[in-house]
Amino acid sequence: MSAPAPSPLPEELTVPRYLEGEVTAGSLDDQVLAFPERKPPLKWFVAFAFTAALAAAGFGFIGYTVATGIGVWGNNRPVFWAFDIINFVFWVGIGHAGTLISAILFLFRKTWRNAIARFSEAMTIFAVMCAGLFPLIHVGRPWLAFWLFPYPNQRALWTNFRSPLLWDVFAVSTYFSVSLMFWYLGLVPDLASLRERTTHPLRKKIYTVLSLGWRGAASHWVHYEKAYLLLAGLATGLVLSVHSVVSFDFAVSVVPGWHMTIFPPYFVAGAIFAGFAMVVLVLVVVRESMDLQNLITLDHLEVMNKVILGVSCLMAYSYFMEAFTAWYSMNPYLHHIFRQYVSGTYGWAGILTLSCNVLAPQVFWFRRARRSYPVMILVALCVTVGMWFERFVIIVISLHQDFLPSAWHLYKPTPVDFAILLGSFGLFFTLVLLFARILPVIATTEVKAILPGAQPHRHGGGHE
Amino acid sequence: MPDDTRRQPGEKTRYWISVQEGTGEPGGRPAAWNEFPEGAADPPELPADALSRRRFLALLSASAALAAASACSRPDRGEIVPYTERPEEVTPGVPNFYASCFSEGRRAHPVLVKTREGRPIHVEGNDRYAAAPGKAPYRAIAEVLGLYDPDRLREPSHRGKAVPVTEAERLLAERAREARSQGLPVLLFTEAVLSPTRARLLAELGKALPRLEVVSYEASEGGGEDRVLRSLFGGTVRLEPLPERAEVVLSLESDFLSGEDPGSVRAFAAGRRPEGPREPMVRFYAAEGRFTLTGSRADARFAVRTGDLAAFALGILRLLVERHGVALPRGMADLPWPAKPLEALLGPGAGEREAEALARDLAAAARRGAALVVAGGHLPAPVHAAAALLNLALGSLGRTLAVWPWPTAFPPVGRREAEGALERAAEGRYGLVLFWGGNPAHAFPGHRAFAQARRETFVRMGLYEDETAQAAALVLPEAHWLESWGDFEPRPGLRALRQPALRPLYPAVRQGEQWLLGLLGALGGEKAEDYALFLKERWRREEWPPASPVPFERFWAAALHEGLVPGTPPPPPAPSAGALLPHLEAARSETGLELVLYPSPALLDGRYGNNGWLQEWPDPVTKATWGNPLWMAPADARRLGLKDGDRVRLSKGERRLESPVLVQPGQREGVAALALGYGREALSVARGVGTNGFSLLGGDGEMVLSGVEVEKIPGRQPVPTTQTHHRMEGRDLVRSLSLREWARGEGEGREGHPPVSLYPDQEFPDHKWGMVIDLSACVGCSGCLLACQSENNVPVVGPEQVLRGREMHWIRIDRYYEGPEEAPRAVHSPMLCQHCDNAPCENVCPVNATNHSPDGLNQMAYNRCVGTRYCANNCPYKVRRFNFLEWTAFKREPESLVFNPEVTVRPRGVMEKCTFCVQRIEEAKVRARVEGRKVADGEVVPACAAACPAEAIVFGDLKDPESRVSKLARSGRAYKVLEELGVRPSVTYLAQLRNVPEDTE
Amino acid sequence: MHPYDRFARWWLPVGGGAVLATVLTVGWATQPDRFAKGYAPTQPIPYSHRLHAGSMKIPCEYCHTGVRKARHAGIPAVQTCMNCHAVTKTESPAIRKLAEALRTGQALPWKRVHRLPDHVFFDHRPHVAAGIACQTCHGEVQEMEVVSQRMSMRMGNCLGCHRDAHAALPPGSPPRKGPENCNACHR
Repeated sequence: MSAPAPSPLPEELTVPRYLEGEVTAGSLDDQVLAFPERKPPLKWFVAFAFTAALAAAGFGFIGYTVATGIGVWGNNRPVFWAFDIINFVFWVGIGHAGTLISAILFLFRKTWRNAIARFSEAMTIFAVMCAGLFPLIHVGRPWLAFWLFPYPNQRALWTNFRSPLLWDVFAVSTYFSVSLMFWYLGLVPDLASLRERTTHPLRKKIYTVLSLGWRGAASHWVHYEKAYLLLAGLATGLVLSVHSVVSFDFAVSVVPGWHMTIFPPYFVAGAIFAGFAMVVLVLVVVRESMDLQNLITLDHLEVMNKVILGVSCLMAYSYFMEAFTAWYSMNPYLHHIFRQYVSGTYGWAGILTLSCNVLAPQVFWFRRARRSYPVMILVALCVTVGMWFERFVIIVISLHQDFLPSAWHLYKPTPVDFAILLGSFGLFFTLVLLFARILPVIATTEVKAILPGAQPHRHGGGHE
Repeated sequence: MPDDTRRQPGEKTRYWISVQEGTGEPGGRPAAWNEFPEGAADPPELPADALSRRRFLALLSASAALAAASACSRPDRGEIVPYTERPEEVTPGVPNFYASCFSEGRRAHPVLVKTREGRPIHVEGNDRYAAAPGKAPYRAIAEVLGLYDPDRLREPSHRGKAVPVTEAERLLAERAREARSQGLPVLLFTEAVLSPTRARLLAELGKALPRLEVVSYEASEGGGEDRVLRSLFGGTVRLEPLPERAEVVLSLESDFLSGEDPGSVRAFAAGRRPEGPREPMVRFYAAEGRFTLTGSRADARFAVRTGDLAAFALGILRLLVERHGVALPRGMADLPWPAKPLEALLGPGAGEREAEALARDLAAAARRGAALVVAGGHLPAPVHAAAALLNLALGSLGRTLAVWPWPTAFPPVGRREAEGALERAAEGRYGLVLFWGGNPAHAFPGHRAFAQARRETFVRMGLYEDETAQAAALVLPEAHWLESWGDFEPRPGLRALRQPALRPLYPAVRQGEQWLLGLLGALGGEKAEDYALFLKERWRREEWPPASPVPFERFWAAALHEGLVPGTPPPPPAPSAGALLPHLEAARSETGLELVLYPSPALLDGRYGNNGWLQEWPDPVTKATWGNPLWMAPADARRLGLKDGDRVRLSKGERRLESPVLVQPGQREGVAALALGYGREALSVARGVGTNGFSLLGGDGEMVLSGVEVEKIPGRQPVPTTQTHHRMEGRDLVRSLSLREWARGEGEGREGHPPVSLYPDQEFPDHKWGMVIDLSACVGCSGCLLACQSENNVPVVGPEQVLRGREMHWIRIDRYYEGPEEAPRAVHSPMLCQHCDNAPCENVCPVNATNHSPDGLNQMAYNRCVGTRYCANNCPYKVRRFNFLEWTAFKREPESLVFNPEVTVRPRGVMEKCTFCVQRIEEAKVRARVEGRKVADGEVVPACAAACPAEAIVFGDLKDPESRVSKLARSGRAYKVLEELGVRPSVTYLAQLRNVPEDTE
Repeated sequence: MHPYDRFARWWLPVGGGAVLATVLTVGWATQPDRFAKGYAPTQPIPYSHRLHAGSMKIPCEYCHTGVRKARHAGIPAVQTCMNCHAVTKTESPAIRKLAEALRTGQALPWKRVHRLPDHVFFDHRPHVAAGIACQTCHGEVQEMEVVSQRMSMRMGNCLGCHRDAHAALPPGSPPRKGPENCNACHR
């Protein structure tokens, strides 16, 4: 693309602009790298206090759970899994958008991701941290959870490699470590610049350590480029694999409503869906609160919303296919469960899921909706809620009425369940706020690459 | 008792256990404590010093408390305290069985008590008892928990202050002497006196106290039956149905299949499992207003208002007389036939055609003396009169009905007499009132006799500081029956002995007879140191056949060892039918709502209220736990706009009661039912559970009340039930076949293609354990559940957790209704871990905590479990149980003593489930290996199978084609639940059979 | 060399190494076997296995009678000691203590040396029946003045032998394995 030029075409047809106004390398640095130096505004402290309090409360209740037992939650027989696993799947899903943006779009050379990649990648990591919390605390004896790792022990016992839960352990931990490396690698040059800019001696020390001796030498850049490309490739595979593996927890079981071959793709799509919604939500806030309108443009948001619309249609298809398979299977247990999804005691949850995930995003067919804050925030919220309830439908409704009616039982969450759910949101936003405060939320090096006249020297040369 | 049991108040309590020597000599060489099976022993001779108690705690609580954290080894490993002198029959780690006898109301049942190092841990039946070999009543099984109930009285108290035994004895004797000197009568208010020796003691006491009044009263009985039988036979008798001889049985709202009497269940079940569709099978009719467990097994069930049952029975009799030429007994010519015609009585369900079939079948069976009519003990006199008349006409007496005179001189009295005695007591007419057993303050709620607390002339002798004890000044702690001596007559002529399996847990506790002996001595009556001696002496004089070549000591030792001594049955009393007429004339059919009060199958009259196992034991019909909701017919509930858990106020005249409602399909419209025994006001577990139905009972003790008002009141009280959905949703889960359907070959195998597997079948080198459950024999009594609970240390979780669906029972009895709500057909099917060959739970456990054993067991290693609960999600039968909270670690002695030392006590956060009683399997395997042989068929019997009175559960090795279980698994009725999933369960079910009357299907 | 490079090339690896070293040290220091092996508490009676089982060659089963009848070998009752000591060495203080205990019925609290967790249901019978010597697990007791634990008795020990029992079985006995399924020991 070329520098913005006045065009005779109507606005809809102009080339989207991912930079507003006059941005130079210097102005960019001053704008982005200045944040960590500056004392944050009051509103930041207010927000931080709030989210931190939520997180703290959440951890309090987690402590209470560990001390007293899973019995303080609503889980029962037959609904042995409920909020715990719902939240796990939900948060892992949120993570996916980040990797998709920072890695996959990178491989596709979609330069519009440059400005938001750092940010969404950070969200990935925080989301996966929240997710990782739940499998740990949901077990009956968390202090023994390390038994899930295959390590040689005197008991001569080994883990069960047939169990999807074990696959989860590997999938999620790999995903987390790769994302972390990917994100950190991208940070190194910016950390180096921070090191150079800062005057504060302590900060200088810290940045020195973190920037791993980066000097921006040509050799550094060459290695950096290679490493970044490789990690992007790795992460790409993981985006698809992780949520597929998570979906195996269900697909591999015999529970009617879980035992579905469509689950892997369907879960991945759902994950990206929820992730993008979350990115949009946070992006809007950051853009406004940190005055980044010139770097994160409305065009950015519009593209995101287009993706949401697209994936929403994909979800609609998945829902339909799932229902169709269920009907076509002629399996009475499956038929029963699918009726329960939309009728029955918890039918409302199914209806809510459908309307939030399929109906709401359809407004994005209209350009004005795609570019309007209220609409996109509303839709993003809908999708977030909808995707959480989708997991509720899959897990709780499927479990509460399975094969033997004699074992059926209703499920009722307790306040502790809700407290821990809120706590996880608190944790997530606390981390986001901290990130926005102490690290550059935008990868200056990457944005510099899309500054006018900067193109030829990226990614081993593009179009000259 | 040796005087080392004397203790001063304030002195630390000490626990006693002693295995009496085989000879049964009282105070025989005490075997001692042992919690750590290495032989941690703490002999009773040891003075009660703090040290021993502390060690004691350490040893006892260990198995419960350390189960979780014991994976790590710590510097100190505790102590091993061996016996100082080891009784030769005790080998640490090897259980001893002692023959004893359980009694309750009018029934006595010989049992075996399993003890480990002198500590009873399980109750089983006595194999020598012909009526029910090896079968124990389910409440007897639960009683081992009652033995270790921490609420039990530990020392005598006067006006609420603990007093030493000597002082208590002195006070008791003083009261009695005063009464005698003032010429005042003395009242002994007790429960049914079944034991001849106890009766002898009372007679002796009567000599010492000329004005002694003995009132023996069973609160859970209607009294109608007694009145009828007394006038029929001219004296109190005991009546036992003998279904094994019957071909056609008619039950008038009787619950004789409840399992309270394993004998009748066994006999009935024996007639319900024909080899083939052409083989003979007992046909069972039931007529009832309340939906009883027994009725739910009927081939044809008539929904008849309870008040109309007499009319119904007479209607059937009329059919018999007029159509089938059955002769009425002599003196019955002017029998008043009921005004209402038979067809007018019948509700939905079985109708006139079935009624005619019933008459036809009864008549046919009567020719072979194989007809039987049983009526529920709670029913009014007219029903019993009609039933007796039917039995007389059908010639059942002596054939399918055993009648024998009450074994003692103290027959139970009706409620009116009992209340009379209490009235006099209230007015202070007695110099001494001794309440022994029972719980009159609960059975007569708000009676003025108990209005005043700690009444000086009242003495309470019992296990607990219960409602009655609170009214008595002097409270004497009674020993549990497992700590006591006694003798009974379980069947005509058969003598059963009760011997203590341990010495009373608390030194100041002694059995009621022992206290009375003390009193007797103090009053200058016959001197006897010890009730055991008193019993033995009576046996030497009366039970030992004079001409017997066996010396008495040998005879006595053998009797104690066997627990039974056969004798000659007394001649059955002769009936005089004419005496029935007055009772029959009383027969009336009322309109308006009828309330049926019946003894709770869990708590009987409330005496087991403090037993957590029985409180949490799901009612076999409603599956309700922890309470006695009011059963209402669906139609009535609809009319009053009531749902499960809504609250209602019941009123009968002045008497009122509030209770939650439970809508019971199959209950006849206009009939409501409430279980007695709940609404206790004392004891930590029993207090406040359910409502006290006795408060509705009138003076006449009539337990079927007509014209009861029911009104809905605000508020809800959800009923904790273990099953919340009652229909099969058209799934092929519990199969039920009529004989004709079976003959047509229906229900065999399964529809659809056989499940295929891509994987090679598993190899089972030595054994392949499996189980067969015959649904045609199973009556759904749920006794197996209690046996399992006792054998496998299954915890009690309480009503709130049951409401959440977290009960821990390893075996549940699924009960489904089919057909219309007004007249459903109920099926019962025990559901436990199916030990699938391709168990879905196994491959999802990330840590391999559950996996397959080489002998086909789905094994669960508690200590490896981290509690992901994935296995339970993936179990299609939902038979896995999760310890959502800590249920047991906080248990201290005496509670912790009930644990079976062969089974791990599970901590919070781990999954558990039925193991097929692997501890018994392993024991048998080890024994076989050491003796160098193979495990014999039938050598391994899981607790549920051992307890099942219907012998519906058969366990064995499926690898041996000749084993009983393999043969049954090949039967024509065999099927597997959810076979289409291809999980290959090791449990095979045999379809239930219904012997539906011809031309009514 | 540039200071940043020095950091990257020296301090990072050194730091990593230090962390690893710490982990290994702590891990080694806290391994359970260090508490398990060689535990030899002082007993209420200074009973010498070396004297009785060693020099006097009294068979183990004379005192530990349970070993063929029950899961547990059992600790002898005071009675058993007095079978001999009613006549021999009656004057030694320890024996006096024994006699006193027998007279008063006072119990002897022996210190437990070998303790398996409560969820382990070890059964002596099959092991003895297979001809495995007591010493295989309990060490050369007949040479111990004070009994001490020789095998750490962890699950690894059990399985090691169950998987290859050859060393433990008496010479000439057919090669066989012990059961390895959970239920063999856990219930």
